Amino acid sequence: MIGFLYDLIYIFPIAALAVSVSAGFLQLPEKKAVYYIAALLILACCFSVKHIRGRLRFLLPGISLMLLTGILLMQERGTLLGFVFDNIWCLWTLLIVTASYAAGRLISQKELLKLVAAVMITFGLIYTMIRGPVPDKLEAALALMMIVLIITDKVQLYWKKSGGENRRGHLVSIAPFVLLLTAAVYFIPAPDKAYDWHFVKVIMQRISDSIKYGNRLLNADKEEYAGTMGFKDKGTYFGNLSVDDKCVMRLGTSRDAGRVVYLAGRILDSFDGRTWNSIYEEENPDKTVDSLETLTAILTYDRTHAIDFYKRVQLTVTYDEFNTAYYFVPQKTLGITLHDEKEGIVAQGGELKSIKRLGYHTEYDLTYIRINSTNPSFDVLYDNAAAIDEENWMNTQAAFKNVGPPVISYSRYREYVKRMHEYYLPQTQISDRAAEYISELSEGAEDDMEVLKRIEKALSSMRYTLNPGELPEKTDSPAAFLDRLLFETQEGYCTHYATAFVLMARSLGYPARFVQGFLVPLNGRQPYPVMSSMAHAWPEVYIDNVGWISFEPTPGIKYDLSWPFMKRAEDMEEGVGTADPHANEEDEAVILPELDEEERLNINWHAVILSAVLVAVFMFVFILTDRILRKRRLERMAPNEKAAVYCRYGLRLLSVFGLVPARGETLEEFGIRAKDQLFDPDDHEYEYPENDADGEKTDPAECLDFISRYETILYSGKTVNDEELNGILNNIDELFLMIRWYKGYVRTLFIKLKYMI
Amino acid sequence: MDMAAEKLNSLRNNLHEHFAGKESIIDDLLICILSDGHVLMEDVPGVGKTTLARILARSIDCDFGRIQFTPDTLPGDVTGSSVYNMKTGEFTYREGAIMHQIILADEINRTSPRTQASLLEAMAEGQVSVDGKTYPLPQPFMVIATQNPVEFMGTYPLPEAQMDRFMMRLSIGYPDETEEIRLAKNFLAGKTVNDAASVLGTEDIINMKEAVKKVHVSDGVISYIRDIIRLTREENSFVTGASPRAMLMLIRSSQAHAYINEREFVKPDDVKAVAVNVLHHRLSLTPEAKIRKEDTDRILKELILKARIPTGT
Repeated sequence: MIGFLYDLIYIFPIAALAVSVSAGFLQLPEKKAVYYIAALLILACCFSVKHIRGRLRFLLPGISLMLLTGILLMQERGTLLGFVFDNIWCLWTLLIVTASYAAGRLISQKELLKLVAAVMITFGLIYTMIRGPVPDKLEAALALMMIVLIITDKVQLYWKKSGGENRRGHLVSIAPFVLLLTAAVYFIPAPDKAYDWHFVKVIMQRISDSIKYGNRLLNADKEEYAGTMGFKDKGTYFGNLSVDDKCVMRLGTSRDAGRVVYLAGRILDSFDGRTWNSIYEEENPDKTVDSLETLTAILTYDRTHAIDFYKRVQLTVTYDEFNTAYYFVPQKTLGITLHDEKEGIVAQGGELKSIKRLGYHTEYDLTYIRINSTNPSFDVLYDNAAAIDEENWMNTQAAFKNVGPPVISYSRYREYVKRMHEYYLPQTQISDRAAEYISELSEGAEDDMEVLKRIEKALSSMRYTLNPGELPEKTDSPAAFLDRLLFETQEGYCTHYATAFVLMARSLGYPARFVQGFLVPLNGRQPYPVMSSMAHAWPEVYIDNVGWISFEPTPGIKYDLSWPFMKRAEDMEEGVGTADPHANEEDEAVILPELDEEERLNINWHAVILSAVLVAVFMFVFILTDRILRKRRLERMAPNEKAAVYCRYGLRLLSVFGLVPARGETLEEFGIRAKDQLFDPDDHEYEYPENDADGEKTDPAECLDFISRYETILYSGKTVNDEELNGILNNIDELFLMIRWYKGYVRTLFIKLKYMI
Repeated sequence: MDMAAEKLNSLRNNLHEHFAGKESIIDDLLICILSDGHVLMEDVPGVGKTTLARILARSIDCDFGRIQFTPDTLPGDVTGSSVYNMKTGEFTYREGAIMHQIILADEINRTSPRTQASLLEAMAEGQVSVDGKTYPLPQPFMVIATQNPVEFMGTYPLPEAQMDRFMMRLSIGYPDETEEIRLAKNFLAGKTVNDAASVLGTEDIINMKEAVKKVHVSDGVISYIRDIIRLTREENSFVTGASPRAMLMLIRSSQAHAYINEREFVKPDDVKAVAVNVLHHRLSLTPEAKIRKEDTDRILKELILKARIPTGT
């Protein structure tokens, strides 16, 4: 074993170095791993031939050869030569590895060669470092390892010659290597960044976060983010705010997400002057229907230039320091995938709620429709919004079949429209003064959409404050609230303005609703953090045959969410780019990416089976030949040797019963012990025939006679005669009978194989 | 071989009949006489040393002599001396006590080293020289020397070098119950040593000795013996190990042991059987070992177990 390891120490670096260097020159197959595996296999074969005794040494090379044959046979006739030439690197590898093995062995055997090798490697290193090509780290390390090994070997030799007594002297002679290694570490250029134990840090962070936020989930069902919008759990709000800054979520987006994202969580529909409440709680796929409605409107209006009106964006949301029951998604979400199936999702009351409380490390992906509603050109959609009929409705779903939910029937859509009107357009009384204000604003407006936009502008020109003071007692109706904001205070934060807008839109006859969520600017690097201070509220208005459109009446928010329309062919000069500008792009609107057929693992089963069969046949033939040859050699032995072999075989068989000669136990003593153990007269487990063929009483212990015969062979110096030899063979047979009786047929076969002569 | 076996058995039986004690002592004694060796007996008084020697001598028709050593025994008493014969006017040689075939040298440690030397020298040489003339000792020749292990006051203990000349150290010890009762019964019946008959003649013994020398010793057994010797030399508790002479004696006694067990070749079992007796008196414990109250026999037995049994693998 030690010999093998010693050789390994010398041969492996040389072989590794050779393999690594040659990898640069040979034409290797794509999967480099095959190359290294082949090199390793060849090296193992070399070691096997050299270090394993007996015929078994050829087993591994034989198997490799069989595998190779199998692989060659699997190639089609015509391509065989091509295959061989493509893989000519195999031959080179064989050469290189065998040469390295031979070199390594030579070096490990001859002291002089060690010195020569060390000197050569040193010079080689210095040369390549000065003149180049610079070896890579692995090669340099291997070369250094060889040098250090050789020098250590020499030192050990000196140590041995000096009697190995002088401990201090030995340490002194080792010291230069320690110094060398220290110097190497010192001079090796370190990376600029200190190793920050990233992996460990991530784990520690995860653990501490989980612990910290784990008990949050156990806490009361508070919607924590709501506090930053002025919502307290019991509904009183509109008071003074203090903002804290926790990172509640992180967003990853695909391109085309724009500069901000509105994430909607909770949707409220009824306002009593002081509190928003949610009456509508039915389970319906409202978000999907809304997206489909808008898409239908766009596609019906202008399919070719649909990209001007909407974009498909993907988001990945990861919750952090958060505790909520809602999934925060952009309004027109088309499809959502949870990372943790167990969390469960319910579309309820226009919101997406979770079955379990969500918190730290909730993650989900979604696809949503981002609409260009802030672009003035978008307004054509409102003007031309044709009533959505069944055909258009189903066509849209057909186009989005891969992303959307199960098909929503047209009748369900109509029901949805009714619902929107029902829940989001309750009777809203506003004061006359407010109504007058609105009609003043509407003067000269072309359509209602423009009025809404003017309202939005008017509101956003008021003051933004986090401390508007508590609502006075007398403000107890929507009308009172509106009057207070519009005429008295003219200040507030998002909640105030969104509420005001909703009220005013409703007074104009539009279904409108109050949405709570986050307004997330997408600055810096992904994933974008969502801070609790980004909590926001905004209004949405339902436009028939178009869908829900959101507005931003809060002062101070000046994000431009629009993107410019593409130049139309008719707008451009003649001859320039008359081709459809989107012709080369994958038309995102209509063509959805098809999932590749799962790349199936192409296993060529025939090759595997053939190789396995070849290997099995080879092994069988190998073992059979080996046994036959052994038997022949045994037959040709001198009688004494032969008898000794059989006797030793018998002794090995006795070990099956746990009988092994103890330390210092002579064969005679062992025989007595074996007889006592096996043929205890009180223990008649083994049934032997009482009388043999001649009618004489048999003594089963006779089968142990071979032990004393063995003693005679060993110590008497006489040759055995045939009678004694036969006696030994008979003993062996009787032993086998006993083994079979005790251990069973199958195990006896194994024993025969294991202890075979 | 069969004849020899018969004779051996009758000899054994004869000895056993008249001597009450362990059978192994009889075998060991036989081994010594068949190996041309001498015996050192260390025993408390009265266990039958003299009886045994006498019976042995009578059984093999050998002539018995006894030397009782005292502090003032002279070498000349042992070897014999020249005496002036007034009638003839010449010096004639008067045989000393040593001129017998079986000698019982009693309390050898009570006599001066000079006298001890004269005996031991004669044992080694096989002859005595007096006044320039040598007189050979009779064949077969065996000395059974005794030491009292209890008394050490006023004694001259045999030095190790001299102990080395003895093939075996035996210790009869007290007989067990059946034996002692048999002894008592024989005593009451009036059996004496003189009743013992001779079953063998001196030629038989000499032939047997030759046969012993021919017992086959295989290489493996030689290695085994050598291994034991080596282990005694490497053992820290012993001052020195066994000498090469010890090895030769061990070989010879193993052969004798094989012979009396009717075998023509030596087995490791034979070596094991005789090794302790052969080696015990040649090894002395270091003072540290003595302080630790270690026992030579025990250490030897462990060493023998450590030695590699030759199994041909």
